[in-house]
This record gives sequence, C-alpha cells and structure tokens, in this order.
Amino acid sequence: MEELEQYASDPELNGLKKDGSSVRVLIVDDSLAIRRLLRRILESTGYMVVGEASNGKEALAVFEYSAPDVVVLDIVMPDMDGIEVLKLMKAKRKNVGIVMLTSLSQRDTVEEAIRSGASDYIVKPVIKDRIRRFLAAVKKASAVR
Amino acid sequence: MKVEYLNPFITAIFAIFKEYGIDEVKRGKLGFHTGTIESMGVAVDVGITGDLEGHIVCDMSLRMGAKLAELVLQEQVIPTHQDLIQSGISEFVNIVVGRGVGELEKIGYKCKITPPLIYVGNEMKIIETGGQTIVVPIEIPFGVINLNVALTNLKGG
Repeated sequence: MEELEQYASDPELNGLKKDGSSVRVLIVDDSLAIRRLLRRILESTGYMVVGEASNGKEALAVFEYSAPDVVVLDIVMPDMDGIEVLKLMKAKRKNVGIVMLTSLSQRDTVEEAIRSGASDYIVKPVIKDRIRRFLAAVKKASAVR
Repeated sequence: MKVEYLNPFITAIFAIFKEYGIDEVKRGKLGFHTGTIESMGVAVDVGITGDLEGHIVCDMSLRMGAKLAELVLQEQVIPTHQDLIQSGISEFVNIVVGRGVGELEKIGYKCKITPPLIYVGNEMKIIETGGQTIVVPIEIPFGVINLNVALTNLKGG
C-alpha cells in the first residue's frame, strides 16, 4: 500500500488536527483481519487508534474510556448489530463521528445508518480507491460537532 | 433450489476478485448435491435470512485460504498466525456473500446475513443443508473455491 505515504501528507486525508494532535479512532469489527488492516492504514496516515473491539458490548465499554473522535463501526456483528451500537454511542455522545463499514450493499441498511447519525459508510473491501475514500470519510467524521 | 439464487453470488465473487486485482477468474462446471457439504480443508459458512433462507458455504484448501487471507490483509502472513489467516478467510467470504445479497435485492429478494463461521479440517462434514445444494467451482490462479449455495424461498419456489 505505497499510496499511504502520499495520503499521510494530504490534509484532507491524514489524521492530523489543526492543532497538530492526532484524530483518535476506535475500530469496531468482529474480524481480526479487518481490525489489523484498518489499524495499519490509520496509523500510517497519522491517526491514533485508541482502541479496538470485536463486538457491540466490548465496543460500548471501550468507547466509554477511550474518548475517540471517530468510531469505525462494522454493521454485521455477532451479538448486537452495528446500527444498534451506533444509536447507543450517539445517545451517549452526540458529537462523535461514526463511519460505518459494511459488506452489505443494501440501500435500506445504509439509509438507516445515515438516519441514525452515521457520517458516512464504506462498502468493503477497503482496497485501492476505497482506502482514499475511507480516510476522507474518517477525516470528515472527525469534524462532526 | 432455483439457479437464479446462485447467479448473484457468482457475480459477487467475480467482482470482488477483480477489486483485489485478480482478473483471471473462471467458473467451473455446475454440480448439485444433497445432504452434507464436505470440506477440502477450510470452509466458511454464512447464514442467509429473509425472503430466502439457507447457507452459502465457500470451501477450499488451506493453501488457497491463506492466499485469500493475504488478499484481505494486503500483506504476507506467516503460517503460524492461524487466527489471522482464519479471520482473513472468513472476511473474504463475508464480503462476497454481503455483495451477493445486494445483488439478490436487485432481483427482488431482501435478505440479511449472519456473521461467518469457519471450519478447519480435511474431509470434514460441515453442514447438513436439508435440501439441494448447487456447487460451482471458482478457479483463480492460486486454486479453487467451491461456492455452495443452499437457499430456499419460504414463500414457495
């Protein structure tokens, strides 16, 4: 992923805030492989991954103490689906930015996520042009107030 | 089971391989079977609920699975990292089935998917589908994935 170096210096994509600190990101996905991939993409471009969770309950617990600016949240998870987690996180902290990650390209699911307060959504796989789109979505979500 | 339930998943797997940069994808000869699906080494089962109900099972060798994991992770994975390899394989199948369900919606069937379950072991009987299963071998330069589709329309069909 050679493009990450280029994205790291792009202010529209990289994880640097105006004050020079890093955007804090929590990754929630039941797939270890996806968490590892996203961590690599985010950390290579200046974001700070403040936590990871593999299910909804764990995500809500980590959310409490890690104070993320942005949560990257998978939709299909074993115990509680991502939309439910999104609603609970938004109820706790309205100004958190949330980017949904989905393997489902179904309109209803995506529309419900946006209606429930998600800033954006990315359809998997996160590869090539979609890495750029993913970073742009996370950066934009970090400005949710 | 209708062959029309199969095509969305074939479209999906071809599209996903293309997105990962693999253009040489071939579809093998269609087969039918009933009863259990036997694994070639590693198999991932994703449940389908909604207008259609059943299972999509992708079955492959461990070597092929490791290659898929590397595609998902976009890095080389050492063989001792079995948890990471298995997670990568599961995720690949999850992405394919998720995309396939989106294709099913285009032809009028609204469905949801359950998180993937992975089974590892040779000649293992992994699932009793309870009906007819259509199997299509999908060939790429690294090897073959058997795409097993066992879906029923509970409203009839």
